[in-house]
Amino acid sequence: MTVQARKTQSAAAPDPDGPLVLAIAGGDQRAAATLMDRHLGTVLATAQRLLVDRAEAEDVAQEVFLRVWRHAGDWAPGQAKFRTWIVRVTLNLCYDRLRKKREIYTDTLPEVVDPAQSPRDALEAGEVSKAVWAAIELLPERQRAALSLCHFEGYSNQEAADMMEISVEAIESLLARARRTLKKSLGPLNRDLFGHVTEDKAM
Amino acid sequence: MTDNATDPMERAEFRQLAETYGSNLAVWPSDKRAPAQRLLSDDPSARDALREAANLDALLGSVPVARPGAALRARVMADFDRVSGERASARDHQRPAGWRFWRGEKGADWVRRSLEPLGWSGPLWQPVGALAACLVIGLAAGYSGPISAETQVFASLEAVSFDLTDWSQGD
Repeated sequence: MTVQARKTQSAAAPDPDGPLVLAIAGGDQRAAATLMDRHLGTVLATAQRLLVDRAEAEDVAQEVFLRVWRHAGDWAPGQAKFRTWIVRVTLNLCYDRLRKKREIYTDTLPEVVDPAQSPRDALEAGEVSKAVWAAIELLPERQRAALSLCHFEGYSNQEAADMMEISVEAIESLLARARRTLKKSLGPLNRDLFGHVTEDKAM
Repeated sequence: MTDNATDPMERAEFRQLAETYGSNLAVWPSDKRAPAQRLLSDDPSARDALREAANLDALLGSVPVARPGAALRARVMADFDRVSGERASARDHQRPAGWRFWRGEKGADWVRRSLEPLGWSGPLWQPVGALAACLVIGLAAGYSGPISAETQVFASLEAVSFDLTDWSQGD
């Protein structure tokens, strides 16, 4: 589904995943494959933006779908949309892992690339995305989640708010803070690439 | 702040929206798009703010999208097969013992072993089907046969009783 299609899809529309989930509860393998095709990409991408580590994101994606297979029989159509539920489960599993990481790294913080460091070097092929990744990694996890859902996955504010179980105003605030922080941390790179000073200025 | 689509938009609000939603006006709140467009056409500083947001969008666009590979898909579907198998097994345990005996392959193995001395190596449904057919035909013949053994016994008893009657009324 395209980003724009997601933005314009009516919230009141019936859940397109409902019949698939019911079929999965009955052991329908084709329905399971279809549901996986629809959502595995979003689940994996969201997990990777939060956890950064690819292998860990894949483990989370597998765990999310294991929960789908196990609890498909308990699914009640008419409540939260399936995709809202599956992203919510993804976020919660990622938060759990990040919390555990924080407990491990309390004394020794992991080394991260400074996105503002040597922007000229960062212009090398592939280095720009590394620097942007590093900047995203430095964002607080909830800002990262909001940016991932709204900017990268194209969910509406309302849907992202449902997924994160917060208000629309809180989503807007997280998004604005995330982008402001990124604009600052990527300032030198931005200037080198586009020739603009991106520090805040009064309008 | 503008209250609706017809009110003019302030520069500060425009900047705030650009910082929140980025440069694509299509994803801005619907009631803000028209006033934002009007401000963009009139105000160079609004265009600057949008250009800055577009630069950040371009940088964010350089981040590769994680796509699931074949190995991950295989792991996910293997989990589905395992969970489905466990669920089917749990359902079987709630069924009669005869069903479980057959579904658990024990019944099929038993039939196969029994047929080994006869040299049968074909599909199992053929001897099992033949046995079932014999059973059905036998039962049907038993119920609908011309004279049952029971009928013959009653007929004999009746004949003896007539003989006795005749003897008692002899003199």
